[in-house]
Amino acid sequence: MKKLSLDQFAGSNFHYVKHTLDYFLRSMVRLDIHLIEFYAHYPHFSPMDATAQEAAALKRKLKEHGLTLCCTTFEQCTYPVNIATEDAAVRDRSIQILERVIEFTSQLECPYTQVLGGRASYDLPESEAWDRSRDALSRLAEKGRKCDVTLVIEEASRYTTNTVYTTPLTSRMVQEVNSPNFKAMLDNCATETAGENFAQCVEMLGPDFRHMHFADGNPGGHFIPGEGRLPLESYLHTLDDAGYRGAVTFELYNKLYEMDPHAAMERCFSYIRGIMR
Amino acid sequence: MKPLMLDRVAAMNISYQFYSMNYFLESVAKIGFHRIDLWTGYPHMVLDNDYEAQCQALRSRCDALGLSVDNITPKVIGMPLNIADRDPKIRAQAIAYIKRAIDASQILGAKTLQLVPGTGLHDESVGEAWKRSRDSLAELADYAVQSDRILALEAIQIVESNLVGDSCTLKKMIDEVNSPALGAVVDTTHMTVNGETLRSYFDLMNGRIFRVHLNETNQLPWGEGHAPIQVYLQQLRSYEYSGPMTVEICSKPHYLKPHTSMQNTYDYLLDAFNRQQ
Repeated sequence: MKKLSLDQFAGSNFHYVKHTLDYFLRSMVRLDIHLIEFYAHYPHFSPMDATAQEAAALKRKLKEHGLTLCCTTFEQCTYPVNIATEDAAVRDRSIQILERVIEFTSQLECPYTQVLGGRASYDLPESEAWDRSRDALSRLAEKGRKCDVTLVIEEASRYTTNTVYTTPLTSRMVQEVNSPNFKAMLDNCATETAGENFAQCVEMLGPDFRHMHFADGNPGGHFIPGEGRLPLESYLHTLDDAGYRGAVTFELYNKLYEMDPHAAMERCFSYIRGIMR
Repeated sequence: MKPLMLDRVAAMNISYQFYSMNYFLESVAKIGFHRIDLWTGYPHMVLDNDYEAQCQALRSRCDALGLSVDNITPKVIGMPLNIADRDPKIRAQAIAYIKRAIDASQILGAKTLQLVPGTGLHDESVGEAWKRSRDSLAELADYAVQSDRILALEAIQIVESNLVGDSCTLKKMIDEVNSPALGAVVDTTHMTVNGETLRSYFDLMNGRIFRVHLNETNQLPWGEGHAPIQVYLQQLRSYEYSGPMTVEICSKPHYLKPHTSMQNTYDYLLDAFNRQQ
């Protein structure tokens, strides 16, 4: 690798949700991991219920364990959080929750927070969902500007969203929101599920590409490297060739690994340390 | 032996979660179902502050379409609604939510509710989590007795709970709670994962099976897996089961075309029920 370096790779707590926060933090220390993406979800930290004091306690714990955050990701798939819905009450509440997420992200001194585009009912026009999503994201980007946090939009599959589900749609949303605090991220499982070429996605987003979720897949699934069939090394070379300097998070968003999350993360880091050596 | 009636099978709305509630109701009424099993997930019904008005509207719409609400399945998995949680705040929140679902059942005319045991975290004592789950279930069972409602507890897979995962742990929990309002639901998908059969459940539960989830392999639409429907029907008849049943489709790829999947399921079941010897 020319420029891509090991210190860009981040651990994460996505698959630690059947263990305590303390278990996760100790696991990171045992693995000598210092950069993490924080999945803000029950039972570790739920922004819907959390207080500023709880956020302060979390910040203290992260510091005690020598951990820096590259990104926060609030659970937006299983919670009733949806910024594109036709239901105005749910939409307003969702925006308020995401504003709190941005505040917590700022409090935790984390530069980025991940967002999804939301969805309308699939029997209603997608274009109206798109407009509602863009308007909500514009409001949230403004909140991000005040809090010095940049939002990164992630494409998800059609099983999650009917607004932003391809890289061209990601790019279009970044252009329409048009804010210095609204950029994009890529997840190689999502791009493969959408049938996209990863190098073309990186090229399309250019300097707006700021954050990355990395995992093996079939093509989705978020597996440990080697358990799926995706060309992981080729992605790494693409990142290197593009001069990518953002974080690359191992996201094992898969119940398979919840029984022994430490062992799963250990294998991810053995893999990447072997390659980057 | 008396044949089982397809009319006893309720359709669940979980596979319609990308479509509106009204789309679900019209779809299943058109297909030929007379009963629904109401999963209280977003966007259909989240039981928030205006749930009474929502339930009244749903009841009217069901009446107009010739549907009845057979059962309520509170959506708790993936949410901070864990009746076995170590945090008293989360546990209280979960109990309050299920009590509200019991209140909703009065408006909707549903006589039964389906519950799951909650979970402990894997780095904590299972015994303590078990006690918390049992105490929560006892409190809910008391409330159900006062409300003239019946609760059916489901054993779920290890990826969701480390407390009640098979017929033995289910029996143990129901015995420990020891309430006339608490019995079992058996799900033909979950039981198969554990290598169990309807016989294991019926032999063990001694008449306390309150509902059967008549599901295909991996909760696919019927006809797309390899579950032995005739064996299931024959065994249910041999135990003279005449209680309620629910059919669930929990497979995301099928959420995009829920009507077709449910129509295929109904056609498959209709043929199977007609062929009972």
